[in-house]
Amino acid sequence: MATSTYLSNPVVTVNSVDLSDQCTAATFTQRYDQLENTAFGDSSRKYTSGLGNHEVTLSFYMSYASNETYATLKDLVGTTTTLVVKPAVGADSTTNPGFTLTGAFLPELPVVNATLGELGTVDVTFVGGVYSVDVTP
Amino acid sequence: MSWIVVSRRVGIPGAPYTPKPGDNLDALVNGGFIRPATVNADQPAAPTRKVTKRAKE
Repeated sequence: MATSTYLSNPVVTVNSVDLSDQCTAATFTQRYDQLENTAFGDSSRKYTSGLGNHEVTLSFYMSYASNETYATLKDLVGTTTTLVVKPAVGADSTTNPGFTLTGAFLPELPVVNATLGELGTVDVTFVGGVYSVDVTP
Repeated sequence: MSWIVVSRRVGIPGAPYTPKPGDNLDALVNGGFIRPATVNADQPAAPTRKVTKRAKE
């Protein structure tokens, strides 16, 4: 079956801090700017790859306790860091690649996102950085 | 500069912490996840306390 079911296994580290137990969603997008290089004589549009423009969006429960979500993210706003998202716990491998974004920038952090009667959550998006995939155990 | 793990979220507390490429060490220290392993040698020594004798009454 060519499917992936995510239950409790994915691993999310932000600035080397394992926040897996506070994270409920992760979207890691590998993207390159799309540059058009269509020229006279072409019958269809053509494109080539430009600069990498990768992005990681993570959803966390917001906790202000020590060593939790806020403590991890508060000093990263306006700076760069490294993110790693893996499909499952365990060593990196071809079937459990460590998707890594090095030098990713965090432009903003919603410090409060409160709704009466609900657990507070925040969505943060890291942009830029160098994309790599670690498959070495 | 070497570092010691404080929080389980980055390793085993008390173990040496080896920074990974791209780590923001200031954020890790400010968040209480790691701490410096040793006092900086360039740091001046603590000032000695001046002892003054009290006059006997």
